[in-house]
Amino acid sequence: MLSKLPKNGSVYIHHHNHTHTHGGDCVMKKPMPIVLAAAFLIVCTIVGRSAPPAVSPGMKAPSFSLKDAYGKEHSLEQYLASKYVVVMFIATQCPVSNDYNERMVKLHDQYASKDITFLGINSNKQESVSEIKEHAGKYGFKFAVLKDVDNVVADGYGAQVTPEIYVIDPTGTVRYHGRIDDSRDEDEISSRDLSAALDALLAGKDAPRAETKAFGCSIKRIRKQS
Amino acid sequence: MRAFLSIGMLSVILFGAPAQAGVPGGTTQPAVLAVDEKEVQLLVTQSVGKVVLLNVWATWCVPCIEEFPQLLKLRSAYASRGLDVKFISIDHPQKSERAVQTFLKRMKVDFPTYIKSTKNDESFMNALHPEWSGAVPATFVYDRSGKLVHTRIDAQTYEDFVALIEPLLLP
Repeated sequence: MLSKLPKNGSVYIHHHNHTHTHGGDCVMKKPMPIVLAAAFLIVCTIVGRSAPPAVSPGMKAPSFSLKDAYGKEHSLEQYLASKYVVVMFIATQCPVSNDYNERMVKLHDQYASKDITFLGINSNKQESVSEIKEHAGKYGFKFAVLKDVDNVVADGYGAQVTPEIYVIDPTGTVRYHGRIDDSRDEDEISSRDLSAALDALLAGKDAPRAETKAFGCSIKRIRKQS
Repeated sequence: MRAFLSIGMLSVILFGAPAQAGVPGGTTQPAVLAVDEKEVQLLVTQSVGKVVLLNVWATWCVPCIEEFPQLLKLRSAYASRGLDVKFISIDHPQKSERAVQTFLKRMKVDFPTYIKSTKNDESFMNALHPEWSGAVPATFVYDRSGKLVHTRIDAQTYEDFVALIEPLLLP
């Protein structure tokens, strides 16, 4: 698992820079210890040029401070005083993310009274602050949607897809990562994974499945030059 | 309404028989073959000896649609050097049948393509790469021995694709 790899930024950064400079191949320039080399190879096969190492359940959530569409600053730390923070990487133009707009509002309504904070984060380079504001108004979002300029926070979390969810506990530890549920079509849902995670956490238990995934739109990142 | 062909037909494709399915109007359009999490690896193993570029796309995915013509161009340009480009749609196999067919027709796709048939999306993703988040477009490149050597998430340019495959192809 990427998340189990030693957190050695140089492995990733080396690959990241290299892909930009030389067109995408994973080549080790210098001899590496065997564990590092193995990690390098695994990372190389999946991340390509745009996806960083992922934050998984049990790991510390990277802190952030971002502005919402109205210019107000929101930090992860300020919300950790509540029981849990639900960070949702979402989009304005992604049809999958948009299929979840109503469900996100309902989840917020259902859990806000239980002292759970929902935060949307938009990391897509082509989706502007004004578009985010209009989108949030159109769908009646009662949670803040923060603009992640240059996808810095998405990179820190290793978020790749919209919608993609991280549930963070008051100690700043990720307790759930993945999808809202298992179907874009509400009539075909068989597993409401985010609700199940929140219910379990509120009851003092672990999420039944702490990591899930679903198809969605790739987060459109800026191309970072080496 | 014509259903997508089942994997039963895939074996026909594997052994090189014609893969044409009738469409209303009397014309023929290449098959869209259903593949599940167990069958998807066959798409690679059936082409051992070739470099396989497997692209996962959907009609609802704008970057996928934009990337698609680049991959068709790549397929034409490098087929003679042993490149096999395969497309797998993750559209809903029933609800999006018409959209998939219409898009493929518009792209003048004249070879069989594939569509995910399983409802277990996680198993399908894991069959291709356990670390794949499910973000599309996603492209998986296998060398001539069938080993996965590159995974790319998000749309790539033609030049990106060339850089990935060129070192793997026959001279």
